[in-house]
Amino acid sequence: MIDNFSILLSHALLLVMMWRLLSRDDVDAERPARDLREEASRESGANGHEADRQGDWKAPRVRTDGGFGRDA
Amino acid sequence: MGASGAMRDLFFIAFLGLCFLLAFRRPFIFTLVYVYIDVVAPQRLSYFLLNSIPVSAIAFALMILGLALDPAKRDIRPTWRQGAIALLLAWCAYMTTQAVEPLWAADKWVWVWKALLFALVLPFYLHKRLRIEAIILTYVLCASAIIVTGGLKTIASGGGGYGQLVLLVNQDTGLYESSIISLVAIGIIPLILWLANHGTIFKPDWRVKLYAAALIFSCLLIPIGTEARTGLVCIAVLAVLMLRFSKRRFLYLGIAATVGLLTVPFLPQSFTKRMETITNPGADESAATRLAVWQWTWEFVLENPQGGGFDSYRINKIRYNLENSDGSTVEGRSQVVDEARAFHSSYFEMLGEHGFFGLFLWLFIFVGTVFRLEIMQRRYRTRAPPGDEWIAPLALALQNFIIIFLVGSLFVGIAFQPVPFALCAVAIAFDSYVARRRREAEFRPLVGGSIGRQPAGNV
Repeated sequence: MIDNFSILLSHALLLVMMWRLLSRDDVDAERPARDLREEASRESGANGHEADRQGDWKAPRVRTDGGFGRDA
Repeated sequence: MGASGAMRDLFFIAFLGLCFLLAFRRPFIFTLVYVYIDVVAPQRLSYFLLNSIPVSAIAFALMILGLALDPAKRDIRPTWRQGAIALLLAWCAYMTTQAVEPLWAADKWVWVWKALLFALVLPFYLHKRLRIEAIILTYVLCASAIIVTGGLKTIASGGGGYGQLVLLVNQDTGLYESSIISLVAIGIIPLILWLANHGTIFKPDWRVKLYAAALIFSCLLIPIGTEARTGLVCIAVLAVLMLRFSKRRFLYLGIAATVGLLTVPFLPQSFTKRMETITNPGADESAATRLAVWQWTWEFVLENPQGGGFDSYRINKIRYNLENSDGSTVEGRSQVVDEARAFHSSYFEMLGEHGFFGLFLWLFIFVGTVFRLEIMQRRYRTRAPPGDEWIAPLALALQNFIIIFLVGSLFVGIAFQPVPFALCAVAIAFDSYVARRRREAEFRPLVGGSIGRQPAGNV
C-alpha cells in the first residue's frame, strides 16, 4: 500500500507538470533578455523588491511567469 | 502474476503512453520521459508487460527526435566541460578494450556509456529557464517515488537494517541501492528548497511548501532507514553548507543540535550501532577493507598509470589486520585475506579503472562545475538585475548537490552513477544559459537598430 501511494503521488505530480508545460510557450521561446530586464526594472521600481536567501521560506516577489513569458 | 501486478503493469503502460502523447505536442517532454525511465526504471517495477518492451531505447530515440524537432535549436551552445565529458566517454571506451577483466568491463560499459552520453547531450536541450526548472523538478519527483516509500517504511518499521529496506523493488542497482539513494536524497534537499521558493510550474504557495517540507523530512529519513553511513556523512555536509549564508547561525546550530539530540532515542538501535563504526573504523571490517583496497589501488596505478578498465578491482588480493571489537590491542589482531573487493570510493574507482587521466577528467568536470557555480552565485547574489533573483539560489543549490556528491562518494564507488552526472550536466547548461542571456541583455547596437545585429537566441 505504501509503494502504491508513493507511485501514485509522484506519477500524478509528474503528469500535472507535463500538462502545465503544454500551455507554457516559454518552454520553446523566451522573450529577449533585454526586454525582460527592462520590464522587471519597471516592476521592481513600482512594487519594491526583496532580496532572496537560500532556504528562506518567505518567497521573494518573483514574477509568477518566471520573468520570461506570459503566465498560462 | 496476480491482479495487483497486472494493475501496476497497466498503470505504468498508461502513464508512459500518456507522457509520449503529451510529448508529441511539446517535444521537450521526450527528454523528461527519458529521465523518468532512467531514474524510476518502470520496467523493473513491472511484472511482465514492460519487461518485454525496450522502453529505455525507445525513449532515447524519441529524445533525439525531440532535439531534431526543437524549434529553438539555434540557442544550443557547446561548452568545454561537455568536451571533457566526450573525452571521458572516449577514454572509457578505449580502456574497455584494454581492461584487465574484459567480460566484467564490458558488463559495466553497457550502462556507463548511456549515462555519459546522456550527460553529454542533455545541455543541448536545456537552453531555456523553464526547461532547466522542468528537468530539476523531474529528477526531484522521480526520486520522490523512491524516497517517499522509503521514508514511510522507515517510520513504520525503522528500516530493518543495512540493505534491508525494500524501496519499491528488491534490487541493488541505481537509485534502489542504499548508499546511492541516501546520497541523492540528501543532495536534492537544496533543489527541493529552490523549487519551493522559485518554482514557476508549481508556484510557491502553502501546498507546495507543505509538500516540500514533507519530502525533505522523507529525504532525511532515508539514511536512517537504509542505515547507510554515507547518508549521515551527507547530512553533516549539508548542515555545514546550509550554514554558509544563514544569518542566524548560532540559532540554526542550536536548533539543529537540539533536534538531533531529541531524535536519538527514537532511532533504531541497529542504526546507532552502525553509525558508531564511523568513529572506530579499525573495528569494522568494511572500513578496514576500504583502506586495504585503496592501498592496493594506489600501488596498482603506479604500475599501470592508465588504469585497468572497468571493474579492475576484481583482480585485487588484499590482506589486512582487524582489531578486536572491543578496540583492544592486547589480545592481538586477527588477519583477514580477501580478494575482488570493490573500491568503495569514486576517486579510487576512477583511479583504478581509468588511471590518472580518467581521474583528472572526472575531477575537471565536477570540481570545475563547482567552481563555475561559485562564480555565478557570487556575481548574482548581491547584484542580481531585476528578474534574475532566481539565479544565485539555483547556483547555490546545484553547487551544494555536487559538493555533497563529491564528499559522499569518498566512501562509495558511484563515479558513473547517472543522476549526479546528469545534474552536473544541468549545472553546465545553466551556466551556459545565464552567460548567453547576460550577453543578450547587455548587447547594445553601435548605431540605432539598422546596423547593429542582435545576438542569436532572441525570438
